[in-house]
Amino acid sequence: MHTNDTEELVPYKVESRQDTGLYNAKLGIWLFLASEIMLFGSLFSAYILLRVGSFSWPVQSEFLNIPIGAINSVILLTSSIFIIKAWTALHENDFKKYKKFMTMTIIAAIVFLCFKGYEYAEHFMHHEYPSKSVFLALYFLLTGVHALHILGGIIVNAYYIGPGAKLWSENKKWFINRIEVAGLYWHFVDLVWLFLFSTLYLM
Amino acid sequence: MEKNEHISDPKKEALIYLSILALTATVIGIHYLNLGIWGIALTVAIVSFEACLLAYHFMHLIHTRLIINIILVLTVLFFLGLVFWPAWDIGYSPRTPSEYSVN
Repeated sequence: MHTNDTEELVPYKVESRQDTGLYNAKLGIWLFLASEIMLFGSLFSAYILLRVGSFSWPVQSEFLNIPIGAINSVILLTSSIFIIKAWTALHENDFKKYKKFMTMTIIAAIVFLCFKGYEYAEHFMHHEYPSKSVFLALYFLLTGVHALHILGGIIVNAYYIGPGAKLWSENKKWFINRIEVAGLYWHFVDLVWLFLFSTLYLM
Repeated sequence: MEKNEHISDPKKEALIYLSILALTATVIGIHYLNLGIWGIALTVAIVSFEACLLAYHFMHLIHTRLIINIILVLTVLFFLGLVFWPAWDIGYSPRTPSEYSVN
């Protein structure tokens, strides 16, 4: 369908609404992120309550690799900077620079998942499975759900340097809005990791 | 229209990025100091501050409409209720050791 036709069918894809001051996708992503806070909030809540309610709890840092967790924090935070640079490049009308930074964001995310995979492999080699203890069950659940979010972000970001990039030639502002929304999601995933790292590795 | 919607300040971004990295390093340092319950409290406070820096500057929440801030504050309040109400129940309800089967 042609861009102008869709604009008539679904208004406020590009321009902000008068009442909310936001375009549709931005309001949508914030509501989605609010629901994500509740998802991770319920998981953190389960963790806190199980830990507080138990008589004994393992020393978590004995199970987990703090240096790898710290490296992953740096990687994810750096990828947040990359996606901001990608979005800024679009405002400068520099599509090549956008592609470069978006690719770097995806590479950083893949490296993050590789480190996570390495950590998981180490656990499995030591027969540390979710069934072994409540802490390990919570660790695999929390980090697993987070890793799935990273994977989702990789797919979306890859789409926007692949087939989804066609929109840039059709409607620049709409495309910039989409990248802004993808960026908001990516920063949220980074934010969740900050809490996961400190809660699981350092407390 | 949102305020300063398209403004991106590389210097400010670099400063926020380095601040969050420094705070993460601080939190790791606190872990090795073994401060007990105070260490946990300090870690939660620092990580919450890091999250605020990230949300307000990288996610441009500082320039986003009030309605979004209200939605997020309400969400965080619901989350705190979700955590502290049952935690309060655990703290004040008498239980026998056999009821604590988690280890």
